[in-house]
This record gives sequence, C-alpha cells and structure tokens, in this order.
Amino acid sequence: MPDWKTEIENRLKAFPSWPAVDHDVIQEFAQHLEDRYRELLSSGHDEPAARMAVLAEIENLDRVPPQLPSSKRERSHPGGEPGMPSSGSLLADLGRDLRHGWRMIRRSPAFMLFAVLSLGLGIGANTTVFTIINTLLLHPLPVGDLSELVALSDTPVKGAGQASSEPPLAYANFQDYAAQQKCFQSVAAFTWPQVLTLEGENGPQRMFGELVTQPYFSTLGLQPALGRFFLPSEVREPGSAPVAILSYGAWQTRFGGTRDVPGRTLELNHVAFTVVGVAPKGFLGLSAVFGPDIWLPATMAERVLPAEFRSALSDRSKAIFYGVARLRTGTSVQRAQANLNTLSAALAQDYPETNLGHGVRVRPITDQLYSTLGGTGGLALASTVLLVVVMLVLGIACSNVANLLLARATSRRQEIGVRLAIGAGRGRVIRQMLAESLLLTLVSCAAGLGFGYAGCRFVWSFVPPEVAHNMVTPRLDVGVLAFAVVLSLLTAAVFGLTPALRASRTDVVTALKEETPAAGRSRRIDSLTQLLLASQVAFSLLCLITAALFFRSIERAYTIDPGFQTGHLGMVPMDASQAGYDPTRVKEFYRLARERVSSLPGVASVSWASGMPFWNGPSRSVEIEGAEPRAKSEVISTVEITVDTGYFSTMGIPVVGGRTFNDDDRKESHSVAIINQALAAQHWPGGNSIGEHFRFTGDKTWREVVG
Amino acid sequence: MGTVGGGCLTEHVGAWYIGVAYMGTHRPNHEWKKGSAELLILSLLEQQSRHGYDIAKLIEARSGGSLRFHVTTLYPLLYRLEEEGLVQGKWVEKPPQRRRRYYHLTPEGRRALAQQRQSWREFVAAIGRVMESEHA
Repeated sequence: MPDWKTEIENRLKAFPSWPAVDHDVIQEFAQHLEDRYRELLSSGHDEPAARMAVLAEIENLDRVPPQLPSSKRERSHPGGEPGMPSSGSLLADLGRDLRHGWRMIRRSPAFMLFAVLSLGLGIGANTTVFTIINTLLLHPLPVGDLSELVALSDTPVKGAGQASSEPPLAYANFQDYAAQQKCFQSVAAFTWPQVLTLEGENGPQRMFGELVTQPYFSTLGLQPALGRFFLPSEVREPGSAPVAILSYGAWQTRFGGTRDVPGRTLELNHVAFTVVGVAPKGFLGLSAVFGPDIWLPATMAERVLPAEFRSALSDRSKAIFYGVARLRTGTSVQRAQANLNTLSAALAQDYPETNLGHGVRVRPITDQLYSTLGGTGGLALASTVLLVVVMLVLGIACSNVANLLLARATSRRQEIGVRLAIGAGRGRVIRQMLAESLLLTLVSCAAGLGFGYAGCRFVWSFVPPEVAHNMVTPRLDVGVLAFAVVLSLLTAAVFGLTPALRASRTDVVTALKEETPAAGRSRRIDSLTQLLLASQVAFSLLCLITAALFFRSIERAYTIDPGFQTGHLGMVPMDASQAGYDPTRVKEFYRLARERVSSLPGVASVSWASGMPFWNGPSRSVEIEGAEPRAKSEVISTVEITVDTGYFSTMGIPVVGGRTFNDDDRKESHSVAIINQALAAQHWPGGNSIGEHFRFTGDKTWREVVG
Repeated sequence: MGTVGGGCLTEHVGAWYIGVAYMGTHRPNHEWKKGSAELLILSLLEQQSRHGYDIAKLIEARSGGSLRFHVTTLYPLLYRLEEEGLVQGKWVEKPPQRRRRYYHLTPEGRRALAQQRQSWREFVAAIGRVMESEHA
C-alpha cells in the first residue's frame, strides 16, 4: 500500500512559499486516496494502474493551499499564514503575525542581538531619565491629596540681607498664625534636617533630625509604619516630651528593622529620647530629595538645638521653622494668603521690632518641593535637557535598526513577492512587517527596563552610603513600565513603518523574477538608507560633541585653581554648640582644640572656619560706606565665612594686600574683615580697599577691610 | 456563482443565466458541476452525516458517473462550507473503522440548502418553459 500521506507531503514541499497545510487536512486527503486505491484494487485494477488513477486525483494539489481557509493551515509552519489574506480577526492575525515574526527574527540571531542592544540601550536611557522625573517631579511626596497642601514661609524682607528666597518663620509667629487662621483644616511647622549627634555604643554618630509640631503627620495624612506619632499631650510644655519618631530608612539601616524599636532610648545631643514610632516607607519629610533620620517634637528645640537657636521657641527673631497646612475644602491658596496677610499685619503692629516687614507666603506644596530641587523651572529645564539627550540616543538606535530592517526587507523581496502573489494585500504585508518590529521592540523594552534599572542603580550609586537611606530612592513603578511600553510602541512605529511601507510596494513580477535577493535593491531604498545613515551620523556627531563638551567641562573643573592649596589639607567638621555649650564655652572648646591639634606631630598649622570655600552660597548682602543705597534687585550678595587666626596660612590662600587676622581682631569693639579680590575690584577699583568700611545689611556697625 | 446563505432569487437566477449564456458548448459538464457542487454536497448531508469519500462516491454513483469530484476540488469546497458555517466537520472514531471526519449540516446550512433548492427549481422551471415554448 503506497504511503499517501508522505506522497502528499512531498508534493506540498515542492512549494515552500505556499501556506502550509494543516496536518488533519493531509490526513483526510490521504484517507480519501487510500479509500479510492482500495476501491480500484477491489474493482479489478492492478496496483500500478490503481496508483496512477489515484495520483491523478492530486494532480492539482498545488492549487489547494491558497484556497484553504486560515483554520486549515498549519500554525507552526514558517511560511504560513502571513501570506494569506486576513482571517478577519485582528487579534488572531496579530497573534499569527507575532508568531511568524518571532520565527523570522530567530533565524537571524545576530540581527536580533544588535537591534535589541541598540534599542534596549536607547529605551533604557530614556527609562532611567523618566524614572528620575517620575520620582522627583511626578511623585515627589507620598502623602494624601497633594493638591490640598500648601507651604508657609516668611516673606523675603526688603534689605534684610537674606539672599534665600524662602526665609523661615519664627515659631512664636507660626503659633499665632496657627491659632488664628480660618483657612486650614490642619497646620503644622517643621524645620529642615538639623545635624544631631547620636551617642551610641560605637561612639558618636551623625544623624539628621527635623523638629516638627504635633499635627505634622496628621496634616500630611500619614499613618505610622510602626508604633504611633506624637500625642497632643506630649508636646504641650517646652522641653517636656523627649519622644522621637524614626524614619523608615533609619529604622531599617540603623536599627535592623526590628519591631521592638518603639520604647528604645536614643541619646541625641545629650538628651535621652524615647522612640515611639516609625514613619511610613518612602516618606522623607517635605524635601523631595533628602530626608531626616528622625523627627523630634518642636517643643524640644530648646534642649537639642545649638546654643544660638535655643531660644527659637520664644524669640521672634530666631526663625527656623516652615509651615505646612491642609486647606479647608473650597478654600483657595489666594484666600488663605489674604487671611494670613491680615494676621501678619496685626503681628507686625504687636511686635514691631521683630515682625515689621515680615509676612507669610502661602504656596502650593509642590512649589516648595520643587524649589528644593532648584525650582520648577530649573528642574523642568534639567529634565528636558536630559530627555532630549536620551531621545537623541534612541533616535540613533531607531535609525540604526530601520536601516537594518530596510536591508532585510530588500533581501526578503522574493518572500514578500510570493505573499503578494498568493493574495496578501499591502496592508497585510505592512502589518506583518510591523509585527516583527513590534516583537523586536517588546524584547528591547524588556532589555531597556533592565538597562533602566541598572542605570538607576548606577546613578544612585553615587549617593554616599552613610546617607543613602536619607535619599529618595528611584520609583520603578507602573508609570515607568507604561512609559517604557508606550515608548517601545512609538519606537516600533518610527523604525518599522518606513521599511514596512517600502516592502509592501514590492513589484510582484520583478521580485519573483529576481535571481538574487539583492538584485532588486531599488534606487529609492538606497537613497532612504543613505538618508538614515546621514541622520545617524548627524545625531551621533551631535551626541559626541555634547559628550566632548561635557567631559571637557568636567576636566576643566578638575584643573581649575580653587585659590587654595588642596594638598596636605585635612578637614574635621564639628559643631560644639550642639553639645549644649554656651557661646563662651564653645569659644574655649575651639581654642583648646586648636592648641592641642597644632601640637600633634605632623600638623603644620590649624585653624577653624564656619565653612569651606565653595560650600556656601551667597547668604548676606552688604552696604558700602559712602555708597548710594541700592535697590533690592541690585544688592551686593556675599558669601560670609567666619574664620580663626591662621586660616589663610593653613589654607594656603595668599593675602595680596593688607594683613591677615590676629588676636587683636577678636575684640568685638573693632569689627574687621578680609575680602576677596573680586569684591575689592568691583567696589573699590584702583586697589585702595584697605581701610575702607562696609557692613552687612541689618548690622549697625561698620567693618573695616584689613586685607 | 455558488452564492449561498441569504442570496436572493434574482441573484441566483441571474448568476446562472450569465453562466449559461457565456459558458459556450465546449465544457458544459465542468461548468455545470462547478455551479452545482455546493448544492449537491448540502443535499447529500441533509439526511445524515457523511465523510468526504462517501460524499464523492454518492455524487459519482447517483449521477451515473457523469459527475465526479477530485479530492483537490471536494475538500477545499467542504472546508469553505465549514468556514461559512453551513456544514460542520468532526473527527469520529467508530471501531473497527478507522478515525474519519464526518460532516453534517448546521441549521444555517439547512436554511441555505432550502433556499438554493428553491432557486434551482425555479431556474430549471424557467429554463424548461423557455425551451418548451421554442418547441411549441
């Protein structure tokens, strides 16, 4: 008995471009032929004659596959359904196209690897930047209903010498506002993270702590991760509530995440605090980037803050607090501002010495958050620049892959020609080609997410490990995933559409006549390829120039002369006032420490300074003696650093005119200052600044320039 | 030709008329067979389920050998009818017979058959009336 099934299969193999036939169809045909063969034999035909007669039945077998409905075609055959007209179901077609596309891509692993790497890096770079934007701009604060929250700060005062655009509020003023306001459901005060010293078994450690009023957490709508927040009864009397709430990060890193933390005692700046709770995960206070380790009641300010701020709760001239409030339903920011303006005017009348010229500024909380990141405009600009750069990288990748796809489409002209010949429409061919592009980008998307994750880890690896838990962590959430997927789909459209359109315009007759795949490479495709190549080179050149400029800037930053000797110079930061010393004792501590350190072998000289060069931004404005008063926009902003004797020789800063400080300059009756050459050249041109006078805005005494 | 499932009478008659008018006299059997294949298959499945070989055999036997369908014609047509929902094929194993694919009419197939049969009768009657009037 002839093997009819094999006979049918062999005949179909002669037409590799035909849609493959389903196994059941072949079996049904074979059974039919077998029945016919048996019948012929039983009716008296000999075997060769019967065989010839049966084979005549399948003379036209080659016409069968194109006539078969899609359900009768082999699903796993490489040359399958894409050649045929649509089945009518978009999803079914897409599924088939994707399966076919996967097989086609798998046949060219080198192509796939190159394309996935190119696109993956492009998508990964975009994902990294979007993750940063998502973390800092889109989800800056994990609290309930951000739109109801407003930030309160003092208004910048004319000529007060404060260069900061958002000066803090005095606690006593804040309490008055909180008690009399009519616009907020709830209002609380907080400080930015203060440096605290934790006395531990392994010696003193640095911690960052914020002082907050009792309704702080409830105003933000937060729930503790462990334990509880502050109770109203705990914070009534100043200094009476040594309780603390740990940040989630500090709880995990410093205390191992153990659940018995509530009840433990921590000695902070020589005061024993009892931990009562842990803040929720991801909450870093009202800074978008850097948060504290611990929150303490504002009423403990007098016991933990440096000596100069210990009167911060009662002294209206000591402003270290900011406010956060939740608006009542239906109340606008403007209405709240008007309400607080009235209150601040009344306070200015009651306390003219400290409050005259001071007010309250009410802003949406997001403005406050973004201002800590350099302002909304600055952040948006930085984000845009970063996005443009990584989009350029993705553009290069797209151009690269589009070129590869064009080359592939050219080599597949015969295959596409056959598909068109057996009835596939242009749309069907375009869809098939786009499905391949889509597959490539989906694989690239997965790779891109991996690259993005690695990129975020790389960026965040620059955070010093000791403050890593204080820093915001990247949010790789559904939003990032959606961004990557949408970006991938757009990418697929960008790099896949043109090659697909070109491929679908294949001339069937020419394509089928071609002997070699490359023979039909048209001049139009060549010109498109050249265009893509040119754009690739242009984009790459742009990126290279940008990168070169960037690295050149970094190189120059490293070689810039800072104006002092950086070699053999050590620095020990400390703040003796945190230990509760009064100003006299602080001075004595610094004097003794300097004497003892200078006597150590190997120490050439030693001095103290309130800050290091380049650390501080302009903090105070100055008035020049004899000069016309300046408008607010034209104030002379300066960086002020208070230094000890020997500072200039220790730092290796040359004094080009006049003298350095000496012990006589400690006398408070004689205020002196040493200015830099820029200030001297700007305001005392001609080099005659020595002996001239200026004063900080708000000061009464003039300072003599001695060097 | 071969409109099924919902085509109106004029469509059927018109199609047949055009087919007859232009088919000429060289291969009448082939064209007639082509046009009637669908109706033949649906008719054979009206009473009972049948497998493909059975259908082919019955057509050949009942037509006295003048109508024969090759495997490459019969099955694509069966699959098309199945795709259109007029017939439904099902693999059935009836020991000691081997596994075979049996086809049966769907309700939609029955409606299509009734309609095609009516169209056919009207067409034949119309042809008959024309021919009789020529002989009269």
